[in-house]
Amino acid sequence: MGKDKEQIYLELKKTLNKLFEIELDSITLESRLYEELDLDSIDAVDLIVHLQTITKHKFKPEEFKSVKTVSDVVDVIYTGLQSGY
Amino acid sequence: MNFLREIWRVGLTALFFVFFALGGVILAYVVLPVFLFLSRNQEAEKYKAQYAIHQMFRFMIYMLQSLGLINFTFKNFEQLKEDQGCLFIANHPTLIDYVAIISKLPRCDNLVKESLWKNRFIKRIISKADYIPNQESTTIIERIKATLNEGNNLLMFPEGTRTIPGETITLKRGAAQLAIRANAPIRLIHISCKPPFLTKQTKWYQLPFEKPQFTLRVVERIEPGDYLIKTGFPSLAARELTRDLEKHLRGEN
Repeated sequence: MGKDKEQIYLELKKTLNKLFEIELDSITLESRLYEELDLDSIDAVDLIVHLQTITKHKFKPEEFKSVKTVSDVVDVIYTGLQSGY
Repeated sequence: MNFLREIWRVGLTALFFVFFALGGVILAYVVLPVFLFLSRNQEAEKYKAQYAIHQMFRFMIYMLQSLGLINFTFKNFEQLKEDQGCLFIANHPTLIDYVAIISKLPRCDNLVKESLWKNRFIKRIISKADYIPNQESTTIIERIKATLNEGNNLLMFPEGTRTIPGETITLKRGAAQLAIRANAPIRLIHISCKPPFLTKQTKWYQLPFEKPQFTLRVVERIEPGDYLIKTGFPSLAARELTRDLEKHLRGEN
């Protein structure tokens, strides 16, 4: 996964599409994960696990606690990757 | 004569509900304490409480049937006897679906909506029976997995609320997620009540003119492993399974 936010966003979109059948066109940075993209708490755990696999970075579950939108997830990944290198 | 018949039926129904509420209080404060007094460990307590609830519901269904208020038909319920660690999933047309199903099951865990845990009497009973509050939290999900892995069956109504007559059934994804994650087989129970009675939209005293015919039918057993193999990801398997459960409960399959 690339390091700049744009690349992270594109990869995240692909992941959301692959894991949760969400249409690429319906995903924006502002999309809310639970209300608009219809994720549930079990999906959220899957998403974190999957992100760890593709980024090779270990995220702490607390980092995702306040995550609401796609852009929040991008930020958590971005910060995580910054600190990881 | 119709007028008299109506009064008679409404009166009997009212009596039945009073009896039901009274039964609940007696169960909570007399039967369960006496029944559980002798049990030593918590597990035995859980099964005894579940058995007591089953007996009470069995009696209620028997009363409804013999008073001529509702006619019940149970189909293929003997198939459930062999099931262990299964999720029993049913559609939810009426107030008494749970009562009817449990009247056939001496042992069964239940997922109970949160509002009922606030009722003192009901809470006494359901906590003794080790029923599980319906919350979306990691602890609850782990508790459900644990009870299924121990071989207990769990009944849940994945529509979240009673089915509106004539509307298409849509399910929440929770049931399928649990089945996939806990690798628990699903048993579908299809319930129909004709004409509609005790729905979310009507009052208990709005009796249909014809005597309601309840039919409860155990249908398919579904293996979640098949869905996992087919889709590759648990998240996709849960979505695919949810769509199939909807089709089954709508009666399309």
